[in-house]
Amino acid sequence: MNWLREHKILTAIVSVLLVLTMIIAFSNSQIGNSTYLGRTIAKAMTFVQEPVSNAGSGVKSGIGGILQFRSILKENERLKEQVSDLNREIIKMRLTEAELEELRSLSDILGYEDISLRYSYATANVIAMDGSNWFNLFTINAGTDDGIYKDAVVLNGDGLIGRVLEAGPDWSKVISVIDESNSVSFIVFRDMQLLGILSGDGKGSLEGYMIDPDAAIIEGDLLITSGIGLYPEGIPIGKVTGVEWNNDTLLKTVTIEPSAYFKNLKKVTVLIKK
Amino acid sequence: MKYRYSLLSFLIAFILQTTVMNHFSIFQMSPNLILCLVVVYSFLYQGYHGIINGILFGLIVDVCFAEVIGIAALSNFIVSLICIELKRYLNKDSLISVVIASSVGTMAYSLLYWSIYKMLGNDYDLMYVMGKEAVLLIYHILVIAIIYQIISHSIIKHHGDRYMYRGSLQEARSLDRK
Repeated sequence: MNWLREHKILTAIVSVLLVLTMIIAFSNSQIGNSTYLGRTIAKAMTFVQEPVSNAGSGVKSGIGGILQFRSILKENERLKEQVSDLNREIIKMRLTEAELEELRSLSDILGYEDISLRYSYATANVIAMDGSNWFNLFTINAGTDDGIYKDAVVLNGDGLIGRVLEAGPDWSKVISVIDESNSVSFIVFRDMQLLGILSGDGKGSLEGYMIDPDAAIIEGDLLITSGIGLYPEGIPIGKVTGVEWNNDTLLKTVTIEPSAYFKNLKKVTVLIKK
Repeated sequence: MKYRYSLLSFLIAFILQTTVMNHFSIFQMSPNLILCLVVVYSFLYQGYHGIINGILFGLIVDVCFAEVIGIAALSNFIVSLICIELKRYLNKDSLISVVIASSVGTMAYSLLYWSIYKMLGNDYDLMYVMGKEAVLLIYHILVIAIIYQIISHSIIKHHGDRYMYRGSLQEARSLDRK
């Protein structure tokens, strides 16, 4: 005891180190399951972060609007042209509406189950990001009150984002697919017989391999989820940027550029099983 | 410096870091304001502001965002100890010393964070992390230099006096006793 009294600072440093190491070890064994205290802190922080995030987003778009006035005018012109093109498309679509009805009745006869019938969805705003520059974990302003649960699939207009790591009443912590240690099963959109597995590559992107080493996958192929495992089928994941034969593993490996841009997420959709 | 002021500054840094800074990132990088404050409080101030708030806000960041809780807290703690130790060898009145402290702090934080993640079985590429460090280092040096310019008037009592002892009263007394 005397030694401890004489070396107070050293004792304090070692104690803090030990406590923090124990917290890390305990937390690592309980990933995604915060304590009551953790949930309370997360809830309180969400309450503060939401208005600040909205204000920051508003300021950014305001400043951006002033600085990019000319480019916005050009974009406006381009969008007007696009609107007229889309209007023409709508007219064409109306013509094929009857055809679609026929196909729907055919799918009912065949017993095909549409993804929209199995899932409902909740849209949410991204209110805070981890700010670590390495990872892409973020908090959204929807939680268990909106039907969101742990491992619910998160996506946006571009494609797959990730899954819910933890959900509170009005907030959820989301982990992106590029930080995910779990694997995701994919198929190639061009030829849906080509099946593979991908995961984060530890460099802020995705890499994977084909189940069939002779699979004719090429650069530029769009990959979508296969429906095996956690993620429902048909969600765009990304485009193949490289295909290589690995002599060590005797597998065809692929590098993938994700469809979604993770650093500037604003709105996401969470799929909720019905 | 009172602890409630340092706590408030850390709270503001945390909120800004997780909400606003993402909107103003450069090269997809935004500064870790909490780490900047850990370096500033540990290197420039007396007391344990950097250590206590670094651990506290490291834990809050981990609770809110990380898969594993405690990594940021442990990294902040060790960075704070390193910066306190650096005070023995560097003159804190000089901006160059502050630049050195912020560089060492940033590198140490990233290496610690990466090492702990690696030990827990995550396969994050070291070269990817270090590649990002260059931009982050410049960012942190700038942020810490700006903070230093703002607070230096309260730390350095007599700017124009080259011969005046510039440490705190506590430091002067402890030197006198020796």
